[in-house]
Amino acid sequence: MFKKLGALLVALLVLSVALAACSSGPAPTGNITLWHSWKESEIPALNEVIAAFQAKYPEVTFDVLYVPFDDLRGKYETAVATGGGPTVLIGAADWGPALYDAELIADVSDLAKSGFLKTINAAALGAVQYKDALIGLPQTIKGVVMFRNKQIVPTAPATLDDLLKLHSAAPKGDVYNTDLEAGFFFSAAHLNGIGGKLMEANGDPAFSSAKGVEWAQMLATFGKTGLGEYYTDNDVNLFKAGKAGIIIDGSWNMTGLAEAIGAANLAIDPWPTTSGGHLSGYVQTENIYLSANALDAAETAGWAFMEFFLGKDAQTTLVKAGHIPAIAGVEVADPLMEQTVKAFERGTAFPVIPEMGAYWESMDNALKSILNEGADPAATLKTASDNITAKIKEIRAGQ
Amino acid sequence: MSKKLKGVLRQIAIQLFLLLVTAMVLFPILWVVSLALDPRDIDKPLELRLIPPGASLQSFRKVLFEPFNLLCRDPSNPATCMKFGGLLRNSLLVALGTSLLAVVLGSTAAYAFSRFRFIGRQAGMLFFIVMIMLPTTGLLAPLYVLLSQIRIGSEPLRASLFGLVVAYSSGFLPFAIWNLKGYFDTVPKELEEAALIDGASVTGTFVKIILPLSVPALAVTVLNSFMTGWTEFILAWTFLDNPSRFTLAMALRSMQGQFATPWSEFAAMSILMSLPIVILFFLLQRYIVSGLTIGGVKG
Repeated sequence: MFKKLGALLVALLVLSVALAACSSGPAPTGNITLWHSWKESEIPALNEVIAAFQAKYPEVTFDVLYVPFDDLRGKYETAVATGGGPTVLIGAADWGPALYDAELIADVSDLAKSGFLKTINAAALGAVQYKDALIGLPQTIKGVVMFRNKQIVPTAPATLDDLLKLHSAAPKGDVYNTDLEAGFFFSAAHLNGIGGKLMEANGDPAFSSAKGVEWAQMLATFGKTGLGEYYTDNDVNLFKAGKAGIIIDGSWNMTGLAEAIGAANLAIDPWPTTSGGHLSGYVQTENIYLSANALDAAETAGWAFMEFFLGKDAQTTLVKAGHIPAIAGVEVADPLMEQTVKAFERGTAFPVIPEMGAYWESMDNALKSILNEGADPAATLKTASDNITAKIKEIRAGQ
Repeated sequence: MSKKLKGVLRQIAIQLFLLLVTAMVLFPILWVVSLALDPRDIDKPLELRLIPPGASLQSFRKVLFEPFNLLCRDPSNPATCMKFGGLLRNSLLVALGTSLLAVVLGSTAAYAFSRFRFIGRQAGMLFFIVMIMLPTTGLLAPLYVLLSQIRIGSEPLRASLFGLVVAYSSGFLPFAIWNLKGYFDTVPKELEEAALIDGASVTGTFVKIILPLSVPALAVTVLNSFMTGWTEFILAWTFLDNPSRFTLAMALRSMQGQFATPWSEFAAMSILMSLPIVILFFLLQRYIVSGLTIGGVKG
């Protein structure tokens, strides 16, 4: 009897040791503080994901804080630099390199298993790979797309010529076929689309070229032949009021535009083709970062939540909030989201490197000179390129 | 051209200029009113009409009575979300606290700088002028660190409304001291000397003679410090972590989204937020514009 009992105890001991060895580590416990700047309409989906995580790990509690987007980065930097701040931050992709260089976010490459990383969209994963480190996880994909009101423009323009024909047509009363945005963020990717490039892989400018001139001339056409915008919301206002048929704007405005004109009337079209390629829009990610101050239990819990966030269940939930999944295999039933994903196929990855910071002001000035004052594109782009090169030198010297 | 005609033309030109100035001042206000009434959530009117199509008070109703769903202690529980009343209470506490601290500390310090001779007096005043030129946000990091070191119970002073009052006051005090000192300098010393001969103490003279005569300068200090506490949001969003302590200015800021803003509600909230400042200005107006010391020496 005692022999049998002893054998049973030994077997149980061996089994428990084996199970412990197979498990991925201690179960997450403690409190996760999450800071984000999501919209009100996205909060129910976030709550649902948190509730599902807590159902799986009941020992984990949450403190969730909304911070306006323009204040979030500053608050995070101040708090983490002084030893505080959240466990996990949801923020813009282009914050990542600077936060990592300032040692304010953790390199999670040791925590991430290769099998898990393989489930993430390769282009999206590229947005969190920096200096041989994995500085976060991409939780959704978003980007610049072309919206169309089907009641005003029933057929999508397949080519740039089709688009420009619609653009130059006289308005019907106060209803315009198109109102095309040429602001640098919204138009820079067209350069890649037509076969040029804004920058080299290391961030050095590459737009002062024949393709660059072609791109600038095309943007100038937008303003000359029809209704054009440069970083205004006039296009969005007109579209919402049913007075513009096609606009170029971010996929993040999809819900608002659908509400304004009716989802059935809204289409998100593939970018029109050009002789050398196609128009394009920047595609970027929104990331989830682990704080550099999250250590031990906080690190375990924070990373578990990040992994869960990129899981199929959570990503499926987040689709309800209009988030385009960053992982493969998530069903997207909404037709507008399907069209967005399709439009992203002709998108251009937004450069997530510190050098991008050198481009904004100079490119804005250059485009405004060309579009508003009729400056010579080749000379203006050359000046902008020289200015950017000088600024990049300063950025690199400061690193 | 007769002299009379010249006078009429001059008057017409002045009136036209004043009408233009009035229009320039009123236009943005009317624009905000129009946006608040517009249910379409657009950032600017599409035509010049004060009353937009489909105008309603819906945005005012939403702002006043519905919870702010982004400002919740527990986002999954709407009952923990802040409402206009709670935000108003916090804003009043911060603004009135800032005013009180600015007036009490500012007036006593200004009196010392005005009446007493001590080492470092000149350098101190110069330092205040330098401090006035520093934007409050420039002091954000040191204030954050300093107020995080002081703890009330289990939490840092930085995360409390009192911490915010201290931060705002520290930014506003140099101006308050500089402004009040300048005014105290104009109050005749003979009044104090008469009070001292009659047996009043220095403190008694300050409280019973100087302060009542300095109401215009105090009114300016109260109004400006109240406005600082009422409208500031950058420090507030950096310092505070608990939504139950958030203020109206923070709520207004939270409406401004990265990609989309509910413009009607934003405009309605802006109008509602400006009302206490307008009321305070009207209450203090006669003190601000009057000169109470006139005739204080003779007669």
